[in-house]
Amino acid sequence: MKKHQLAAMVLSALSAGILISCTKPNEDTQTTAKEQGVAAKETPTTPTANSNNTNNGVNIKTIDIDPNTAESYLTEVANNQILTAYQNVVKQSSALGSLATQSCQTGSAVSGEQLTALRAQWLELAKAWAQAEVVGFGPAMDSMSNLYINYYPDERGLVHQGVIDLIAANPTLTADQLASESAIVQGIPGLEEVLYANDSLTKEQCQYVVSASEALTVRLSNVQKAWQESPEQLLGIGGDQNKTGLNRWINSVLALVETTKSTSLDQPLGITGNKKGHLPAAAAGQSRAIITAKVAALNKALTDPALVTILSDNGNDTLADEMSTLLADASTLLAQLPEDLAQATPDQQKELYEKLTELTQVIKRQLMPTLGIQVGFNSTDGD
Amino acid sequence: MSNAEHHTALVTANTGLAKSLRTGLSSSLKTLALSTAGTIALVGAHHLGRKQYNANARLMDYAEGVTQALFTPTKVAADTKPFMPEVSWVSGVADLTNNEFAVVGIDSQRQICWQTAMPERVHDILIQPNQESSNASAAHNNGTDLHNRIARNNSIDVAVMGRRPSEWFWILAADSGKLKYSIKAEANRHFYGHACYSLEGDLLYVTENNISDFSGVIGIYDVASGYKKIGEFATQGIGPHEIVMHPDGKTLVIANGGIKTERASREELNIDSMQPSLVYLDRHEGKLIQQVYPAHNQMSVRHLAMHDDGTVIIGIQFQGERHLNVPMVLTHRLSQSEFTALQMDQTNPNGWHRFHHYIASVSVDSNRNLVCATSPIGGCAAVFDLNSGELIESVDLADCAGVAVYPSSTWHNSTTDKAESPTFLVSDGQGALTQIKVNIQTRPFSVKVEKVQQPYAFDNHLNVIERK
Repeated sequence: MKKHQLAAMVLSALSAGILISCTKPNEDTQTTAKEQGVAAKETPTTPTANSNNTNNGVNIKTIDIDPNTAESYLTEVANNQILTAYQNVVKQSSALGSLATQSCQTGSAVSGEQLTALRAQWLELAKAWAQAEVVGFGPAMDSMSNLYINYYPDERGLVHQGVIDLIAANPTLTADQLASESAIVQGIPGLEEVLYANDSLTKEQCQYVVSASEALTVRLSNVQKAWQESPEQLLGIGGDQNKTGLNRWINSVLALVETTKSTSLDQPLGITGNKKGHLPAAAAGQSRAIITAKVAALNKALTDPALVTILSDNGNDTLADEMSTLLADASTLLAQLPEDLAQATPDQQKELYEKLTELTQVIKRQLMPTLGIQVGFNSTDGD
Repeated sequence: MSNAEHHTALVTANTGLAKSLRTGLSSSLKTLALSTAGTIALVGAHHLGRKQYNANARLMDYAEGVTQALFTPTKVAADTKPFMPEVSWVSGVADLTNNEFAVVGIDSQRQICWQTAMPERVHDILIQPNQESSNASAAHNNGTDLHNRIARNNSIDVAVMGRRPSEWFWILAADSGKLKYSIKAEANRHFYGHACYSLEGDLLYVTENNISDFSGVIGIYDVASGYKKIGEFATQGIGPHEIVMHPDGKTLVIANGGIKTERASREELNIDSMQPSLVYLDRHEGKLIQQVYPAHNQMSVRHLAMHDDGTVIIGIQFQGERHLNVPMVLTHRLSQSEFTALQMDQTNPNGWHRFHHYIASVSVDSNRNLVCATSPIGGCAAVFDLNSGELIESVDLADCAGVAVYPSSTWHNSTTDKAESPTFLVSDGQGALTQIKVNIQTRPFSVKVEKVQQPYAFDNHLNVIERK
């Protein structure tokens, strides 16, 4: 072999080695590195502070949101998304309480149209809460308070017997008494149990519906009041808090997509694994209505005009459009499914699940890097 | 030599030189061409291979990678900054958006001063006991000439554990952050994300799963031989998670979480029948010294901290019905028949719900008898007084998980009052490093917090580097 050929071989190996070792990482880096044993070396990861991210071949530029714009957007979120959601759920709970009081005042059994009306109002309440669940932080969630509003999923079927036993033990139960009882006999699932497991309501069951609605209204009113009094503190609005607020809100939106996908669809329907838990509003057979309400809440959050303006002003119209299209597709899909999603075909169930998966990916890989938001560990499993 | 002859010689020499230059140039061009062709061929072959597992791979990635390597300013200069003199804590970080993971060193000012990229999400990070203390311990305990053994390795080690059910852990050199060893689990084993060094620093004990029957084992790895596995003990339970060394130097303390987890999906397979426990094992023979079971079989014993006096602090993850209010932070000392629960707000019957049934980490300050427990789901870090067993204060910290004490040198060397010295550092997924100061000089105790923001998502565990 001639000298220049030998030199060429060495140079080729060296230059190729440099190029290969510097190859820009991608989403499969994890596997690659693992296959190579380990690639631990002193090169920084790409923290959120970096202005450019590459996701799935899409070059994402983190936008610099003006503090006034951020504050204005977060104020809009607090007023028009969070507060209105709680106001609506208080309204629906209060309406159920009034209707129950009216229906039960004769002291005779409640059935037929009266029971149908109570069930319809319960569904309005359940949908309102499903929308309010987009707020995954604050007083409704602190110290697991949300269990007293919606003990879901009830994997061991505790609500059914719990409510029967409670009514038998306390036939004249008041709202105050109920408020100090276990979470499994309170809130939306307890009401669902009594309203849907019976063809007519006895006096005692009627009393439970009145008391449970009243206790729930008090609990929800307290949440609404807390938000009215200090939205800046609870969300994180103004000055240094804007970043916290933005993180909190968008991670909360992401958490709703993920829990809807996993807890409300995948696990109860066994789409990707073994069946676990149950569909929301299973006793009422109204799971579609609940999922539709959640998708509506997501739609409201992700197509918020203030958010769309922030994205559009920074050349991200496509991203806003993509989220809007995905949510419209999910709504269209839902409209074509039966009221009880367990009755949908496996293909239909999977299609809905995959649509929400796509939305998760767009939020995680495009929206959050664009807004400079770190995906929190809350939305994944712990250890 | 005449002028004519001299001239002729010069011409001949010049002609030879020119010929030689032409030949050299020609040879260089050939070398360059061949090198270029060879590089293209090699990179092309690599690209084709890369395409097999990544459809989005582009040839431009090579050029962009080189450009980034050359021109992207690094946040840290690990090669020029010694590790041990600077770093006070180490933590795993993760960018879940891009699936990028690293270990970072954090200095006393809570600035990132060192960083090593990792191939997967990491969990616990252990510091090998330092030469001075381990030398003394070794002399005291078994006379091993550890000083020489560690000297042969040139530095103190940092063991980085992959997140369960990882097949890997890595050993970095503490003084440079350079990778020293990559250790792969044996066939039929995977790691659970935690480990502990012997007090002498000569052995690493790692929690592992026997995949064939889900039984928990402790793998024993010899530092001097490059972390060769030299044995294992049964943990007397399923799903061992955190392991700590008892200050007696002879006893391993293991949290058997009790949960059988399907490896690929992380699905929990035995939630109703699970049986967690805290186990004390003789580290030399693996003999069971004591096994303690929590009051409820779904209180998964998961995270531990060891007080200098031998009190074990236990962080629980409750797998049972969510409406139940069970204690989430317990203590235990060897030979006690049962756990002792710390006390939350006694006026609230559901006080433990503050943690949403999930404690991510616990840490203990042996000097001041204080415990800190974190809950990312509950969005809080709670400080307890070990003397009274009562909650001092719960601090709102979204997504917080890592917690460690401040190095004892912080307050030994402090010119300020001991009461003003920071006690705990808490890290969170939103990038905050929060200092918690507990004033124990006045009653009731008071807590102050102060945050420093970093552009990272800190993962579950944070560990302090103590320099004795």
